[in-house]
Amino acid sequence: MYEAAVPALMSMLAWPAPLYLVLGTLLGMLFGILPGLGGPQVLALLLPITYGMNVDLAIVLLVGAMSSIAFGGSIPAILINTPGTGQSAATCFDGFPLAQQGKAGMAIGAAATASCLGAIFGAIILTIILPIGRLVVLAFSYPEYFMLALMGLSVIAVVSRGSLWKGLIAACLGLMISTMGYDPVTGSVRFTFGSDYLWDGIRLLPAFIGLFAVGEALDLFLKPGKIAQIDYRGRIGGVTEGMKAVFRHFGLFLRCSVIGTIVGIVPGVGGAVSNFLAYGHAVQSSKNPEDFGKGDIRGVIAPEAGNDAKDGGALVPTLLFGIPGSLEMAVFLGALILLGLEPGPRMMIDNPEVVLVLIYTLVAGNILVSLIGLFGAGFLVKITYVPTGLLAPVIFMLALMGAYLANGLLADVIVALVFGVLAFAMKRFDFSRLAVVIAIVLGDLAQKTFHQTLMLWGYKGFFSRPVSLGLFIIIVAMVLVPYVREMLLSRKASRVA
Amino acid sequence: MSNRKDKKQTIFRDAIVFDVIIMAFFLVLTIMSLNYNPRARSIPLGLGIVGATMMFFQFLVDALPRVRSKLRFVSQSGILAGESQFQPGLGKPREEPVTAPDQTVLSYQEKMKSRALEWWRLLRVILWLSGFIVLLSLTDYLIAVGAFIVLATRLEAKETWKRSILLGIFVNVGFYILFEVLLKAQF
Repeated sequence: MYEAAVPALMSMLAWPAPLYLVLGTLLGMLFGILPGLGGPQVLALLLPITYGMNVDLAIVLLVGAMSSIAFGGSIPAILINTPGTGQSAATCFDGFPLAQQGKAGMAIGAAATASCLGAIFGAIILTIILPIGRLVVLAFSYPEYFMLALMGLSVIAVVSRGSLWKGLIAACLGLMISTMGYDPVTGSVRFTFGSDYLWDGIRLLPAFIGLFAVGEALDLFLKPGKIAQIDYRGRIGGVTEGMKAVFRHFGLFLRCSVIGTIVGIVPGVGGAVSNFLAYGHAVQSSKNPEDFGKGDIRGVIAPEAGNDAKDGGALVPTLLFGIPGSLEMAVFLGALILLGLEPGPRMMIDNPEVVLVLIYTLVAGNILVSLIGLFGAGFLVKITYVPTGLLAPVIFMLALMGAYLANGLLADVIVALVFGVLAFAMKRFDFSRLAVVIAIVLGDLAQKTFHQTLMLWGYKGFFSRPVSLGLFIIIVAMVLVPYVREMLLSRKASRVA
Repeated sequence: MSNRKDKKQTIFRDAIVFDVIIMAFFLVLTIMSLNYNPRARSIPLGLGIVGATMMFFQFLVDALPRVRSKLRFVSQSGILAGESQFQPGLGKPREEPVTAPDQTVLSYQEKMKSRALEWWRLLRVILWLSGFIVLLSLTDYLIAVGAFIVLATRLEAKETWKRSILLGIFVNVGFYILFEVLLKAQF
């Protein structure tokens, strides 16, 4: 993989790649700043634009956008106590009090530096771990890929913060949707309802646009008023003080970056968890925890390091196994598939240059967004004062025209609308959209490898191979753990009583 | 008396409707899968049965609150439930950072009314978007986009005509540059 290092760097620096990097970074930052919108939405809206683009340029645009979401979300968290994304929520705790004390610049300086260095840390770990893909390829065949797909789905449902039952239902729903259309393994056409359009099944692009962009726009449109409740009018100065603070607390920064990377590697956990875990660690490891929540700069450094390091970690299961680690990664995985790439252990062998372009862009995007944030935070936060009634219709049009752009089919627009309504309803009733998305993405792989295993080895193929059997045991254990834990806790409680 | 009644009746009919729709989806596809050859139907049949059964239990829990205590496994949370609830420095649950409007406690009837209004608004937005799709099929995309932006922001979002028309022009110009000039899209 490393022999492609220089060609990949040349690809990233050759014009017009830098232009796409800047565009992607600015767009990602914009979506990160706006609460209610984030990585999945910006990626879903960029998908149709990258259709037919050169692969390297498409990767630069998409990863540039993805890399700037986390820090973008921190800006309103610090200035107006409203996190732009869930992964910046913990930054509010100390970031906003700092802004109230007139130290907004210090907070933004610390956030920008911790974000940038955290992302670089995550990218380094990613670069070290990815070559393991070569070893994985030799050990994996159809049963192992099937079990991996099943494990990806189970993990999402089990580690979700909502109802486990609803998470599993959502996974079943996504898998069911993925069975629609022509199946090349069995030669059957399923659930087309007499429509030629559905011969190809539900297309990823309009489904993603609907699930993320249209669904969120519906939510925004139904909440009248402005997104921001607070109007920030202070000065932003003292930025270098914040930058130096990261190096003063470098041990904390490193530990939180490790936390973020590990959280990112676990599929389904997501940025919000890394943000809170890192903040919690900072509080618990401090000699004076009572200072947190009142404007302690460590309360900004810790979550920012965690939520940016997680990007590098989240790319590990996404690229190595084709199992997306979060909603963003699920859309990104869809983008890679649409670009003709096949995420999984073979990616490192077949497309090492693409993987390295991705890593370089992750680093470059974070450096760029930190620089933009340092100089433009005060101006950019004004976007949150735009009424939702003006913002939501624009997002609707961008989303639906994006769905139309790919194939010029009205059916794609209708699918996007249907999935948008589904996403809205799922959000209202606490069903996991992440489980649905990952099931749609992994459904094809799961079905193909299921049938291929049956054809070659029959049902015992899943249980006679040690890696496949081991993965199956892990899946069963994972699904049962919450119930067993609940049982043990209630027994303990009744003994105490 | 009305508080006891409210507490008993925490049944949100919209959740039940959603459960029924999803359950029907699973059942319809399960029945359709019986028409396919054995290999083709194996996965959708299995998924459909499992999905419909799970959704049925969810429906029972949503429709009959008394059943909730008997079907506790349906309400089981994931491993990370509740991990993000703590207060800085003290490890206790923390309130939402965003300043919310006056938090008066709503009665069951008020909650139902508010949810019904929300679904009614959603239906109106869906009708607006459907109108956009119809217009898109009949005219140029710039006309459809402009019309939607102007009319939806004025009539649905209650913005002024000036703002709506300015936004419509701005979006149309932006779309023209993005789709026709930069992407050279063929619609």
